[in-house]
Amino acid sequence: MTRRGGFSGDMSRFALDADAAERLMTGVVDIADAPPGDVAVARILRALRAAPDGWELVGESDAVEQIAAAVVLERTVRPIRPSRRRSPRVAVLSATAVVVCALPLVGGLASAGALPEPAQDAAAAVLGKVGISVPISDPSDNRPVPASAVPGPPSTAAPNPGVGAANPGAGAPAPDAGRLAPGSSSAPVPTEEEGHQRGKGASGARPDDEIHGAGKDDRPHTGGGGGDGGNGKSNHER
Amino acid sequence: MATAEFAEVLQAARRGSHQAIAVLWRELHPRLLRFLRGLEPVAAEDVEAETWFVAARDLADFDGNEKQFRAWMFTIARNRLIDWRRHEARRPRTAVTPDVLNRPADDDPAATALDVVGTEAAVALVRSCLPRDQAEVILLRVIGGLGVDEVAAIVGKRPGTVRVLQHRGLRRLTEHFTRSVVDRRGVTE
Repeated sequence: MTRRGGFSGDMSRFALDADAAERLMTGVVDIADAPPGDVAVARILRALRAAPDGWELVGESDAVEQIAAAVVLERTVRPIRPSRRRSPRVAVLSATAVVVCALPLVGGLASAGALPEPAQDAAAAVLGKVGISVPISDPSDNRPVPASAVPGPPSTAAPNPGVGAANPGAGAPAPDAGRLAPGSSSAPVPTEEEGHQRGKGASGARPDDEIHGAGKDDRPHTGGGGGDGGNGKSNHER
Repeated sequence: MATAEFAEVLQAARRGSHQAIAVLWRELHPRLLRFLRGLEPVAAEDVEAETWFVAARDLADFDGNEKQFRAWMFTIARNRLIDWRRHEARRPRTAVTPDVLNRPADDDPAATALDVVGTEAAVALVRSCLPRDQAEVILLRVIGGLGVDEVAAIVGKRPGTVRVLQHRGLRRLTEHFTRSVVDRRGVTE
């Protein structure tokens, strides 16, 4: 068993501190000055770093010839390789191609009136100058109708001002209410927390929506409470 | 080689100058060959030739001083050697008869090394005595003339690990020689 803090008696001969090891590796220790146990190792390491024998340099001319040929070949091949950096000419050409492809697309969309409002106006102004009539966007289009403007289903429940003020969606009876009491005209008044949770996914939906499966639509409602089936479109868009 | 001198040689070698390439080859070819022979004697010459062609291909991209160039060359050599080993591992092998395995070696590298140590004997001794990772570290440090940090970068280990490996390798060599001397004395006495 090895003694604490050291090698066993047999192994102590091979103890080698880090400095001595580094000196051996770098060859700064002369063989004559090497510790007695490390003389043979120092001799081996010196042999490893010895100057090359004649036979080790045999075939120099052939090797150099082939390496030089490879270097020259690489130099001639390298410029042919495509550069990652685009030349200005290529950049101009690609920009022109993009514009040429995009013009008919934008023109088509503008003539169909399918562009967003500002883009549609801009396209109408530009194309109008060259004699192409393009419809101007209707400001009333795409404008969401506020939920408060659409009359919700009549509720016989007692008003709960705290709920409606905090969460507009919670003001209407939640679809769960219909599930609890199908066909009942008096849905239970949700607590503030319940109303908040229900209002998240069912704002403006009638209680019947859940029963008919139409209220499962996750798209946001913007005042579609008037029996639109919860498909997210306002009456005006139709 | 002085720094400025090396920079000139490297620049000329990039242009394909035979003289400059010969200077680099004379400096590095024996070292690379010794290093590779110390790890895989069968493949050493092929891998070394491949190393030079990879270096020739990428010479234009290299930027650094002489020591960095040496480290770069040894990195290429080591990577080529790893590729060769992978390739060999996939090849079908022929079975070796037990007679061949039991046959004694023609010469004992340890005995040779103790008397007149030639480079070949020293390389053979390192290869036969040390595990591959210890031999690799010692060969890179001694033959490549590289520091601990450079060797660590080449072998993908931490400098502390490289120090431990070289220390264990040296200790193992010392142990081997001590036993060898004891055995020889036992035989002669």
